[in-house]
Amino acid sequence: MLTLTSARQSRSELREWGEKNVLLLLFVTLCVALGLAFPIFFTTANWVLILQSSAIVGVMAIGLSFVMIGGGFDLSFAATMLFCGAVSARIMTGDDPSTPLALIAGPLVGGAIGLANGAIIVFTGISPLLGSIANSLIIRALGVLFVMTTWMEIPRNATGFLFIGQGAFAGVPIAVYIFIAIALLAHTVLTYFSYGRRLFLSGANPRAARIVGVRVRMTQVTAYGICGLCAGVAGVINVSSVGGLSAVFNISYLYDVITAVVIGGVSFFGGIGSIGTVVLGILILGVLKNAMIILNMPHYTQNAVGGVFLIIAIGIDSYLRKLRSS
Amino acid sequence: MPILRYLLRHQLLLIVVGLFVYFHFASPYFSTTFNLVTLAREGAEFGIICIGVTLVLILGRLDISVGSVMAVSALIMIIGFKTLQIHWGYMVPVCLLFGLLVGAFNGLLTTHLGVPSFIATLGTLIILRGLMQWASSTEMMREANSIFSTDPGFQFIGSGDVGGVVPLSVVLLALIFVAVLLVLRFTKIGTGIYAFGGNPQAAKRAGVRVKVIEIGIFAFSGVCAAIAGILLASRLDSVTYQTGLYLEFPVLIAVILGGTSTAGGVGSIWGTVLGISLISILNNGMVMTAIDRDIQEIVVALFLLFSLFFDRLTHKLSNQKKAWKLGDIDRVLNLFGKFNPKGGG
Amino acid sequence: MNDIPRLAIRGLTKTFPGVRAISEADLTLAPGEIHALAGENGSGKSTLCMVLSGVYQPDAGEIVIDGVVVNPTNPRHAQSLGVSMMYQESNLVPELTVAENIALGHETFLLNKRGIEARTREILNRLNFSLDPSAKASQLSGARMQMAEIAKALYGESKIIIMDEPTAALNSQETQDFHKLIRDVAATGVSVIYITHALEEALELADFTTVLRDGKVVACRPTTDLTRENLVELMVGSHIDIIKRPTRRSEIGEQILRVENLSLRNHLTNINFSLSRGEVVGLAGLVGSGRSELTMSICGVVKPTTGAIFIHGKRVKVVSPRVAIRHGIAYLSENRKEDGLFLQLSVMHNLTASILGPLSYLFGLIRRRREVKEARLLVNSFAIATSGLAKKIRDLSGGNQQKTLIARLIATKPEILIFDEPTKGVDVGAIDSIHQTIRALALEGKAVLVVSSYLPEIMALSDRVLVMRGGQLVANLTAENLTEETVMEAAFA
Repeated sequence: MLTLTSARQSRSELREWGEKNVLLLLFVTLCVALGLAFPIFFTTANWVLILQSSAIVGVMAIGLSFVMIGGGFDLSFAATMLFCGAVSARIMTGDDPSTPLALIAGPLVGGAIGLANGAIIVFTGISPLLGSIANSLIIRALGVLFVMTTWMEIPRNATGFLFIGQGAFAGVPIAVYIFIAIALLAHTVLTYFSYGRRLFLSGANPRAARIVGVRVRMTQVTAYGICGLCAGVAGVINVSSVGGLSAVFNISYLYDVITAVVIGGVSFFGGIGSIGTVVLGILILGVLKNAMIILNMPHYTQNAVGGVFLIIAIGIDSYLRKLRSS
Repeated sequence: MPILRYLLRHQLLLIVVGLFVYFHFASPYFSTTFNLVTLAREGAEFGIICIGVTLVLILGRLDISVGSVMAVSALIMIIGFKTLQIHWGYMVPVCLLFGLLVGAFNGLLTTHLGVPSFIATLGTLIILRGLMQWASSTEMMREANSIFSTDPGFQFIGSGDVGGVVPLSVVLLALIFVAVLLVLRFTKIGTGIYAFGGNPQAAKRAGVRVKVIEIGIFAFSGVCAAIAGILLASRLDSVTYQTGLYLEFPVLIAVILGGTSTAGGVGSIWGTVLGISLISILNNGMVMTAIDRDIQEIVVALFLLFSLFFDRLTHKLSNQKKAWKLGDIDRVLNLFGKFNPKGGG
Repeated sequence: MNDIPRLAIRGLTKTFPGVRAISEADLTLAPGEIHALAGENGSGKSTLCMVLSGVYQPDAGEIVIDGVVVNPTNPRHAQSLGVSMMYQESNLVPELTVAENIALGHETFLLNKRGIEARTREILNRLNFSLDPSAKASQLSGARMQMAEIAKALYGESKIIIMDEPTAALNSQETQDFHKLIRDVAATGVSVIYITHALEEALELADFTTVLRDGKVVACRPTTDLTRENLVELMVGSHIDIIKRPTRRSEIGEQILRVENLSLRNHLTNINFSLSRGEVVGLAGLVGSGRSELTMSICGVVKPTTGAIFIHGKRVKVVSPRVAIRHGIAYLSENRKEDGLFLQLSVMHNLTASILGPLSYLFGLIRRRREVKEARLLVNSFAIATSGLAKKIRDLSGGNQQKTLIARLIATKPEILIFDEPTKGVDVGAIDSIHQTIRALALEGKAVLVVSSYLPEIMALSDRVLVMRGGQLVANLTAENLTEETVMEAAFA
């Protein structure tokens, strides 16, 4: 029986390593392939574009990862992003615009919405998928009713606020710095802090976690709060980079974030996930979208391809999982 | 747990009646024959989709592509009939085939690749919506929408009444309803559907052809959505990007409120009919009383939350009942719903 | 009996990547014979049966049913050949009726409901099963569920029924009834292959017993020729005293835990008992008597309806496992998969899950080095066989997984330990190690409560034994009147 265990062990070890590095390999291969096909790919300007658009998706993907690691799921982040963006835009277009206030209010409101969303889902025990969908409708509707107007434009002189989304330091957009900071913070919390560990425990086996003394529900609700916070940050960056807010709900963020998270190897069942692979997933998605832009694909085709890509990504993941379990 | 479900269904009936009465007094236009007939027509279109989705839910899966399938089906009909001048009689099978293929595709993804049904149908939705986006931006679309079709046969589909009394769409709904009822009650397939939803492993082991059934059910759901698309195309004589947008939510609400559980294995199309009535009356009434669109959205979302909560409650209670019987305390301690990607969650 | 055996397996081999699950297995089965299949976890019994029932295809060897060589390619095919398998997990669909469940898969396209019901009734009558075909399967419990499953196998006209631990979830009375059912079924000419962990069951029920070890058949004898010791020896391969007598009983100190008037609606009535330092108290009783509910109530997993718990004389409200840990109570659940293991995580994560608090600085920063040190210490003291702390715990054997869970408990430095079936599903080698641990804990001055359905285990470990029956504590047997008979009497009477 010794042979059985150690053979199985080294196989799963190899698989783990392989999986982690598959993403990296994929990323490198993609970059090389695209670089060869389109010389424009490796220009600084293009990479700035990739990083900038990845930053917003990336921040939300990190937030969603927290929730999923804890065993839950959240589809309301896109609505939260819109809402919080609107809040900060409202502040900036109001009578007394204040950049610090707008920058703080966005994420804070996002966190509050996330906590409320999480509390509803976790404490009633309803399906996180459908529950967060319902909540997202409510969030969006409330936003339209109370916060948004069809188009809110940030005044040109609000340079501080606009710097966040449109400015750069050392050639790299500020948004990217924010994304990196959040990624590092998230990674630190998940790996080095007991909250992160408890999150993994809650996602891997909530019953056992409870027995070991973890406050499972609190931990999960906090994760939803973090997701909302990230959505708030993303919303503020978005408003800042566009220079205003249009009340149209851009559904492509939903797909992009989910795709990035899935490629990044975060499990729907909880207990598995790492920021490193999620970042790779975000980058891979960013590169692919960039490729579509270079190819001059119209917007709707991009979305369609995005959908195909999501299916492929999950298809592969599910298929591998199926193979693994049989 | 028949008692609670019985109560819930009765409550549902009461709610439906109550809403009807409320809107009757709240708006003078609500109870007019014209409005009620329109309500019935829209409700029937909506209802046909719901029946398809009900079967998917009983199986323990989810199909959120139905709104987009309906839209593209309508698109095919409009383009084919108005732009390409192909007789609608030939377009009908094309639309149906389209729905069937999309559904079968969803089914293949979930059965052979093990993709969670939510993601699979989400992907389909994205692709089809992309298609709608493109189509609605073309000149061809604008033209097609601005022509009034004069073919009485075509108009009859969506706006005609059988025997001058009952709208065709309602008759179709009734026919589909009866057909599904017969299959569920009296054939092996019906038992197989409930079996797979209730205990997939047991069904597989017993020899139930689970893959075929699953693909078939998704295909059926696609066909239902396609039928609704045909009806809508005929009734409105046009199709836009907004067609069927976010329709999946009211559909889910109607089905869940009607007593079909997202966990699978439980459900009845009778309940769905009540759910359909509820949603139709609610939507129509809200429009009639000129309630703000966004408040409408909130109301719908609250209904969804409510129905989810109720579904969860009945599940919890039925588990508790089981727990007392089997002495299995663990079910009483059911802490919170785990996201089940293979199903509704 | 005619000469042609119902089933003959010759030289069956099945290999999975890296491991040979069954190797050259032979087995013969006569019509109407009850044949037990015994062996440790991983000995190949389940694999053998899954090959028979069509789930797997053999790499070599042949299967002969009633003189005809067959090769079941899938479960459905196997069923048509007359082989059906009853699995451990429930194979019934809760929302369907008993009749629908029994006939599942065998119906005609257009359901012939009356025909199904008639045929179902006929089978149920034939076997004297008291089941209502029109009842919903969700309303069945315990033995009735098994009845439905057997009827299901017979509906498909099976000649060979394989049963995988069918009495695992039944209490003693139900097990007895079930054994009678099996005998009745066998009497009609159906052959039964019976996989069981409980050696007594095999000895009592089977006509023949085959023992598997490491994928090979090591013995196949008429059961009357075997004793318990034989079986264990054959299964493990060496002469081992399963339960060693304790070498030194510990000093029993002051009372740590006292439970008064504990009740849990529908499960427990008026429980009163106490635990003292240094003693190991066994909690015996039939499955379903309320032992697990009692442990869960004390440990905060379930909230009791009434009652008071006193620790060191002070009343405490144990409202959650978190609070229990704070009061020095440690709990090992009987379902390690559902309630204990974090399967996706590593051995270290599983070990330190309970002591994250003490291992962290003020704001939650984990002291990495401390954590690794603690984990290594635990692995060594409990002799957990793993090639590293980062190993995924699902790669460990059942015994080592259990040891990990126990180590995790001890890490919280509890004063009161409650073990629910600590050696369930653990291989014989690790059982002894766990027993040693339990006794060592008592020697250190802890109070230990052990729930077990295995009488010899209770007898060997306990200083005194509490017996439960029907949700009540019916006996507190101390050294003078503690014998296997008195325990059984109290549990049954």
